[in-house]
Amino acid sequence: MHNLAIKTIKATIKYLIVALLIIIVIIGGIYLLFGQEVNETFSIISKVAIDIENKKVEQTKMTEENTLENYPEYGTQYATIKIPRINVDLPVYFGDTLEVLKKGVGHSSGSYFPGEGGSIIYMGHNSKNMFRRFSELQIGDEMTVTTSYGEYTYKIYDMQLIKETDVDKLPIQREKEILMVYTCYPFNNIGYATQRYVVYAELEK
Amino acid sequence: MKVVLNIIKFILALILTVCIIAFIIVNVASSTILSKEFVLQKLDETNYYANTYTAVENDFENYIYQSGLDEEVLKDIVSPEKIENDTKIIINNIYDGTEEQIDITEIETNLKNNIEESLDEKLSATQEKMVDEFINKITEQYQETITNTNYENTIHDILTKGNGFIEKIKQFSLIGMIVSAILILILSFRKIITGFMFVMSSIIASGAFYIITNIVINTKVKIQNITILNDAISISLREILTSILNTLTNTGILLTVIGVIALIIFAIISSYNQGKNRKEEQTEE
Repeated sequence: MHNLAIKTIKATIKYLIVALLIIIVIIGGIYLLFGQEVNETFSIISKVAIDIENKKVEQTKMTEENTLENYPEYGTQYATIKIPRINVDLPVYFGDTLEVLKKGVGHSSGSYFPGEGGSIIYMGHNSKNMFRRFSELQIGDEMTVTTSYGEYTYKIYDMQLIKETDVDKLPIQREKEILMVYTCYPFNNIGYATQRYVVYAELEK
Repeated sequence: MKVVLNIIKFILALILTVCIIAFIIVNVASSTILSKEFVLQKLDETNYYANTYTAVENDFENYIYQSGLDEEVLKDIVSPEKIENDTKIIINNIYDGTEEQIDITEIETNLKNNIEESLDEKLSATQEKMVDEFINKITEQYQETITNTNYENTIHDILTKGNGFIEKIKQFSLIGMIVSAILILILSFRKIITGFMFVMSSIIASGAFYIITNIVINTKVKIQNITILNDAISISLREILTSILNTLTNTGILLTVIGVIALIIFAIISSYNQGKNRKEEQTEE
């Protein structure tokens, strides 16, 4: 009886080892043949499966080369904008989706951040609580952007009315720090606005 | 000779495992993501229509901020029932290849009536043009939110080709399973029980493969955090993926348990037979 048990255990272990070898060969084979594709797939899926609760939020900082360290998370607030003449004090979010614009001012993800020395593009609705009073702005007025890494004041030097398709009127460059803030025009329109009112301001301090 | 035979049996067991894995994967795919009924059931379970209704309302609100119109104009222009019907049209277009179009005239009419009611003055020609453009934007947004695209028939073509491919994999893997299992048993004709034990090793390996795959996927990706397009789609997609993974894992556990139990039974029979044969030999001597 004792012998039978030992033999049974030995035979079971022997064929479990066979099963283990089969798994090793199959998984090894998959890794060798499709390892890169599998990793790329996981990487793509991970981009749309962000664990917001457990994500370590790194402080956004400006390096000596005027480049941001730890860019803000897309869709999160990273600054506030103040325009004293029209009583605007609004949160600025990184991103320009409809969801973001519902909450405050959006930062076009293709543009630079304050302090980086390039074009910064902000946008907001022309509703009462946002930029409806843009027409009252004058050249020389100030706009202040306060971030976690510094405060930047810009002086308005131009204002233009453009078509929604005129993207070349909002050029992206890194030679001079320019803040471009735009909203829909006419401010009291009915229906869908096809024009944009853009305020151009350069970095003062 | 015995070593060569064992190597051949191992290779056949390997082929058998691959065939079992492929057979189960294609069957799970056929009964889940490739099944219209499964998808509709999951949409129902995850309140997809109600969630999409909320998403549609939120998206419409964004246009109101720049429209200069009162929020009331959006009231009752779309109903949850319409969203459910339109979603079913999209699903039918994708899975059955129907080419039904979504009717947006109801939204256009409701919205135009609401706008006219909300305005006291008569609109100028320019304003009317802008209102028409606003209505177009709203209907476009509606179609975008319920994912009504021109690609539905393209997706249907891909699904049809995919189904054909899956049917072929099913047949090949089934034939592969039967042939390799029979060959293992033929090669073990003197001790057929060892042949069965090789087959059980394959079943255990394929079961363990699904369990390991599930562990790897759960370690690398947080399925519950997947976010695509809007909340309604994300919630349903998460549920569908979780359901597929659970089915594969449960199948894996079942195969492993059955395999191990059968392996132990065969091991007992094998050991008993060996003992019996030895006793008989000793008695003969």
